[in-house]
Amino acid sequence: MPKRTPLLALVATVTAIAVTACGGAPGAEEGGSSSDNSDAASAAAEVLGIDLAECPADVTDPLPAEANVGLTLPLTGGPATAFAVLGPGAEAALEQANAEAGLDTKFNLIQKDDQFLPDKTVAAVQELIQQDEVVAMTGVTGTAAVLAIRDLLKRDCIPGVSLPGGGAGAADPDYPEVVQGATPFSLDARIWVESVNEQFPDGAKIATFIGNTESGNDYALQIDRWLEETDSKSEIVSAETIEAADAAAPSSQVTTMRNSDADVLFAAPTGAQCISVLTEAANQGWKPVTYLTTNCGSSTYLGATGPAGEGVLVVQPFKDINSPRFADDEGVAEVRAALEKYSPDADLENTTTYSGYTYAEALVEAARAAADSELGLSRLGIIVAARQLDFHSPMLVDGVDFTVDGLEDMVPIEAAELNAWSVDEGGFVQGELYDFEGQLTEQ
Amino acid sequence: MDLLIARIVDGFNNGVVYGFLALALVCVYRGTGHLNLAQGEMAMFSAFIAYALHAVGFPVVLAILGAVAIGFIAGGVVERVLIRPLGHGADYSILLVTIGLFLVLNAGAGVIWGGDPLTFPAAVPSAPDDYISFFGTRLRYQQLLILAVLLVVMTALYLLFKYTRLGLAMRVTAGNPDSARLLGMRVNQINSLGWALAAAVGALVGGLISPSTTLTTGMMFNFLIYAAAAATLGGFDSPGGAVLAGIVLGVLENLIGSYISWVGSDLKQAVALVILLGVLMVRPTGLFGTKKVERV
Repeated sequence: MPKRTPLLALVATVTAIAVTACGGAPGAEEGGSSSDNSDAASAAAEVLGIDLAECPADVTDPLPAEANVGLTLPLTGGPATAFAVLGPGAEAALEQANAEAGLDTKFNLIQKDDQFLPDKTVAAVQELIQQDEVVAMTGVTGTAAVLAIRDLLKRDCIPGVSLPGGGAGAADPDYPEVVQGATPFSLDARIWVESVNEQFPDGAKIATFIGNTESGNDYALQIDRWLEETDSKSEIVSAETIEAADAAAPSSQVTTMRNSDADVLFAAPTGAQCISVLTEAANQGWKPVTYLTTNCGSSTYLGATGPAGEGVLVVQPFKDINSPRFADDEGVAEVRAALEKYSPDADLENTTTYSGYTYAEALVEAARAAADSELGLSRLGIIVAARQLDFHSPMLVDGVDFTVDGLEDMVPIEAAELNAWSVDEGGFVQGELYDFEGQLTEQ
Repeated sequence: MDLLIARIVDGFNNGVVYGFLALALVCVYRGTGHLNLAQGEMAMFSAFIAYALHAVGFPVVLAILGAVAIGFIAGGVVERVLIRPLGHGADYSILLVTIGLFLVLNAGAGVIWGGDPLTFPAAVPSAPDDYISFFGTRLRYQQLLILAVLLVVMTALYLLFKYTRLGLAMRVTAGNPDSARLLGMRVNQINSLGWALAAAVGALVGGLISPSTTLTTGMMFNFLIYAAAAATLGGFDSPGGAVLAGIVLGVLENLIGSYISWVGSDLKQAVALVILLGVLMVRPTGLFGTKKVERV
């Protein structure tokens, strides 16, 4: 895919913004003018490939004293029990910003039910844009959901800051309004392949067990991508899939993978399937070096596998609140205190609550940066600032930052620890930190 | 050869579960003439009850039996409160009520027990080394237990329906409730018993399979599709037929998915439905179902 924004244009535009900000642009009046702002806005938008003429006219207007932020999430149906807690987490981050950030705009979170179904996500986001006039979206979860709504956000120039879809579609240079929030699958795959290349310099036989979902497809593509780009000597000898709703133990898939004599298992199924594939492999006496999707990389899942989880490797950029390692962690305590204070109903024992906080926290960081920028706290200001975010969330492990850089680096989280589950410890043992900062964006 | 046997055993194990849940569907149908789409969710909810009983100190076996007892009572209550008021002929209304029950139980379990997968221990030793070797394949104690319980329950139901007055009354009630009533049969109570029996069988399935599936609110959804297919294939009024059809479905879908590369795991479910369609085109009552004869 060709690069969409030449570096030269980026430098020229940034220079233009800087000159304008200093009031030194030719013809500029002292203290700036609306013309200057307009020029700066156009220049900043152009850098990101946004045509302001296609955006609603108010995209550059300062946000009002009170503005709505949208979050769609499953509030009813099966997935609600897992994801509804995102709301109170996000609420805490925005309320904390309202109280402490000193912004001219107070944010009001509006949550709408999407039942974790992309078509309902589209309807809910349309309602949020048209009726609730949201100025930004945050926390919309799932690669399929992000793919479903990104055209809406692009059409109305609404920033979608920290949308937790791990697929490449959530970090696509064609959609600068969307900033990815979750651990990208490309990071999982990149670290898995790097680790296999290190452990098996002469190559390994790899079996993949991947959910037959939008996310799963992305995993498969990313694994192929990195095996090829790293000139790995390893090869995939068995590629098994599983339907998202299939709750039966994946015995036939494990039988096939075991029979392929694979040394390594890359597993990216969904939910409880993470547990059943590990227990089934153990039950069949198959013991490959196992890498498990970051989506299942919590004590909740690994703890449920019993001895079958021993040594399973998981990519972890975020802190696991249930792990003994982070029991006294300052960052976790900081977020917990914010949740207690600003969202008293939040479930403090649920990892997803903290995720909700982290997603909205990125939006707050973008709003703060926008307010300090030439573009001010406007929708465009947030979009531009969000594409330059560089901060360390208290929920990220040391050495991992939330960093993006225009269209050149669309993937915020590109470093993580590769940690092994220990049954004795009842948690993950800290492993090596892999850092691929600036390397994961597909151009 | 070992691989073929392993794949047959894998399919067989899945098929046993399909057949077991199909047995519960047959219980309701045989006893009342209705199809209960909430059967899987009732089994799921019962499994969570077994989990809760175990969590408060009941041994695994007693927890499962406790859930079976609670399921039995709850099944009867569901019939009395939700189904009976609709009348016997309200097939579509009853179908809709069972869908509503499906949604309520699914959401209710989520609210009570949360969205994270929970683990429930097996009733027999289930460490990785707890198995019997069979042509290089591991027959795990847990799978053998499920098979044994299934055979016992199937035989008991067969004997009940075939050789007892109660079973005869259930068959008459399901087929022609008005005539049954004229004959002095207590149709309502018999209907309740059909639902109660089905719920108890479902509870048994839920408690037995949850160690391998983990406990989640979605654990029975896929099984219900296969169970409905098995009951249809085997005959909705044939306990043995439903079980056999479940096992055949499990084995065939696994063999076809494993050996025909373009089918793979992606299209396994479609294989089951194609088999179902093929059989129904030739024999609409299923392989072992009884042809319904209406007096004109």
